[in-house]
Amino acid sequence: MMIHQTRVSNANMMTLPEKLSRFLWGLFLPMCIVLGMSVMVLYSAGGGNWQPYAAPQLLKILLGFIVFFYVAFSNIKIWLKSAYLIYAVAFILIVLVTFVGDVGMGAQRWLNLGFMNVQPSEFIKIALVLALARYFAWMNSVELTVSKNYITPLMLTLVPFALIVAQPDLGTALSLMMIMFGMFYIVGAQKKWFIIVAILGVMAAPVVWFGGMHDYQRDRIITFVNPDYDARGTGYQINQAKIAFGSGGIFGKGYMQGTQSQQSFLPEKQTDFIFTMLGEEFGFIGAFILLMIYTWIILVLFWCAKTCKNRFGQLVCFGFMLNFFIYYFINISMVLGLLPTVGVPLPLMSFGGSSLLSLMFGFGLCQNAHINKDQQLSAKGS
Amino acid sequence: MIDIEVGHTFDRRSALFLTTGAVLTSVLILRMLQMQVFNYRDYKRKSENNSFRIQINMPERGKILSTEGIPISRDTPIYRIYIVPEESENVDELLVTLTHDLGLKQKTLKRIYAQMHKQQKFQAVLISEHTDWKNLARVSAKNLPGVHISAGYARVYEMGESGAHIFGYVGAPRVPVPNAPFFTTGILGLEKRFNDEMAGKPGQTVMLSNAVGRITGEDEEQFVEPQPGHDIKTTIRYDAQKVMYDALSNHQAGCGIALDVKTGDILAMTSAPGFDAGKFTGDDADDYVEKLRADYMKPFVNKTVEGLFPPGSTFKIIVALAALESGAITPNEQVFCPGYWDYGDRRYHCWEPRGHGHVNLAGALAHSCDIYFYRLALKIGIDAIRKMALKLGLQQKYLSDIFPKEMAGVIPDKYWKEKHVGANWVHGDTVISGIGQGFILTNCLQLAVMLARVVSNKVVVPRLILDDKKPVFKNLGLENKNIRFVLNGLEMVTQPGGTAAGSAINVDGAKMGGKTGTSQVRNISKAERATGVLTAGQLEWNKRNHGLFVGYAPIDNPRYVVCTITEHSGGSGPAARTTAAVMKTLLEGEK
Repeated sequence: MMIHQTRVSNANMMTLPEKLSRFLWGLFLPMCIVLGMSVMVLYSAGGGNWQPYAAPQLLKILLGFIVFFYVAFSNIKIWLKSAYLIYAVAFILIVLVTFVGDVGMGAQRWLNLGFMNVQPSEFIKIALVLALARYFAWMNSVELTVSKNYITPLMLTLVPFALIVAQPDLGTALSLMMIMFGMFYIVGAQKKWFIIVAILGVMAAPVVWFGGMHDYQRDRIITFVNPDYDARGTGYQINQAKIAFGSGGIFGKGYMQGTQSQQSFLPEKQTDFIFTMLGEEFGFIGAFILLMIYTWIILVLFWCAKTCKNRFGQLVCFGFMLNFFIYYFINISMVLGLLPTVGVPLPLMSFGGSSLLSLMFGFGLCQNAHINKDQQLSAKGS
Repeated sequence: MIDIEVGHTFDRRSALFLTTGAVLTSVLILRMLQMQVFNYRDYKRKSENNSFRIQINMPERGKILSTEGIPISRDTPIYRIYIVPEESENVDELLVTLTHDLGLKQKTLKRIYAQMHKQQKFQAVLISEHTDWKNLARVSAKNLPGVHISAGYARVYEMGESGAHIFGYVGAPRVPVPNAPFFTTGILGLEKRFNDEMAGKPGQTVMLSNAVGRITGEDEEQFVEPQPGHDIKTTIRYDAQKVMYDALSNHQAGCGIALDVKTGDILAMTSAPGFDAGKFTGDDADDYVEKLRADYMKPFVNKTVEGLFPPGSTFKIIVALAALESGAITPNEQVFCPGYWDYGDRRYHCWEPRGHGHVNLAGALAHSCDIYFYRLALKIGIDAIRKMALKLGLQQKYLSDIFPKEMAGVIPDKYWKEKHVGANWVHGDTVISGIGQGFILTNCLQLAVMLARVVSNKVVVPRLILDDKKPVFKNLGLENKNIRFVLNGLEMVTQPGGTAAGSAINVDGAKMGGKTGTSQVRNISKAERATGVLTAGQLEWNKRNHGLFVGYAPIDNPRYVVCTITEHSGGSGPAARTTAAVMKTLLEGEK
């Protein structure tokens, strides 16, 4: 019996002022602060110029806000209904980028649309959260312990995972797996499955190492374990990044005073390595503040998930929280030399539109879920 | 509303996420503290020193050794002085100082300026290669910006011209290696083929430089020791190689191969004129290379495998064996040679216009009677000849991994002629094939292999690199008595009355047999005429016949085979004398 499948009455439809009154400023504010920091650091990365990073990024942020507000104040059922469709679109983009995408560093990642480059692997992370939330939305506790109910979501993850591994974008691929495992765990999958998967994973590691990796990926991992292995190739970037970050000290070298970043010793300072630039110019204080704002966002998202009275909204908020945490944890660990260089941007900070827009879309969804937290949604989504 | 049970699961399980998140966040904070607070000084120092500058340290390259273990190509330690124009404020002034200190010649300065003009400003320009201690000390004491001193190695080619084609040389790679201005790689011959084995692994010195680019110290943690390469041991006998080249050079141009019949070891392999790769670096290098390029004797061609020659009368060994094996003749059957033979509507001449009278097989080989072999060839047909030629190793490449330009040559039949000449095979083609002319083309190595197979009745395969295994060859499957009949003739060649009577040797009773050959000049002179202007004197040289000699010794238990080709020497005399000299060295060196 599915007692929770009660239809939503029109009486529960909210007007815009009602929605505004439920708007979660506690989630909106930290997002805006991080975006502000991003523009500030990118201005410095351009050597104290709006070009080539700060101004284009500002434009993308404005576009992001349009997406954000539209999604936040739209009818939540639109997203419930179109969850699979969005997933399908993101998936097709992944397929496209795998076969016709532009190659960088031995990886196919960009889809050149003529006017802009799209990185579909950024979109698929949000799309997967949405699809999984939709899938699990009406399962009861009994259904959630039945293993065959996990086959579909497993496939939803594994197929794009395989394509992204082939690109090969290891960072995004592993993020997808972590999102999936996180979602499975929180909805109530049996614990023994996780143990079995963990054992299988350990056993498969040698096969992946010798059979499934590109030379540059192996190099990165060897370099990670021993940075002196190739100090002028793979190791150069991470060595320079560490010097930049460490030399920032407690208070930093000052805005636009980072010698490493300003003198171009730090590669990718505007994208994946933007955290090191922040650390160099604003020191421990600056880096710590950003980490705390991120933590703030995580806690608010968790609170949203916990207080949401419909399962779809709860899972969207939780899934997005997972995604957001994985994003910045991998990125920061990577640039601080705690993880191999896998190529994941710093959320809301790194230069680039695909990651930014998919994140703004995600924040919009969570706002929407929070605004509609008292709504009850039927299985048909009608 | 959310299913109550499901809601409980969420509450229970979310604790794990919060805990994990808290732990991971703490890890990040601790790492940040470690880097920015505890290890701050270390990073700050590196940051102030700013950047790494990496210098690649070349390892000592492996040696190429002769079979006796004598180094043929080896590295010798040297000190180079070079400048990086970008780092100096005034390059002209710097060069004036260096000219004074090092006594640079006008020619050297010209090269330096030419190189600077050609290269980017950050690329190194060599000032002095083999710098002596006095000059080195003087320059290094001044510590001039832009001037670098690097210890490295220079390649020394002990055999000089006599081994250039075989051992090859090293030079700068086509794509420059960053931070390694003096990186070298094998360019030709064994140096190229076994580059990976000999190259070793480069090391690195990471120097710290400050914001203006001045070196401030060395990062010892990142120092990597270069690893020397492995030696390559060849089958070449140092003494025989030298003797062969010197003898060939006396006759200007040619090539030679000496083989060990038992192992297939190539004991000598030379092509003359050669070149000295040691002169490819330095101020006179360009002039030297230009001179070599212009030389009509083609010093860059490795004639032992790249040069194709009609085998001439040396081919008679094959025709004789083919006839004996097919049972078409007995060794004592006689043929009358009046000096010519009319067949069809053509008259075929013997090289001896007076004729040889009645000759049997041994006599025909000893005196190289053409009439005998014209008629023999016609009797057994081109297919039988071709079959024997292929069995004895002609039209085959042996060392193309080392010498990519090795040529297989041509052993024709009617299909070949139809395809490549576009005409039908006629009896006349078979007739002249009997004396190794017509379409037949072979190289020096093939002829040596041919004789080695004949004297051993084994499928001898030549090799240039020694390994631990002693090669085992399959039986060739010829009748021993037929081989004996042919060798009877070859033994007479160096005896009084034979075509190489003047080249007889006797080293403690070990004597040499063999076969002379003269081949009409066709392909090479045609090609050379087409390439450009030649003076009358050269044309004359070019028109002369090639001389060939394939010899083996000792005659009672053949151990060595030597094949020599002297280009445009007129007759086979010089080739026979060269072969004899090499053979003597081989036999004497055994003691």
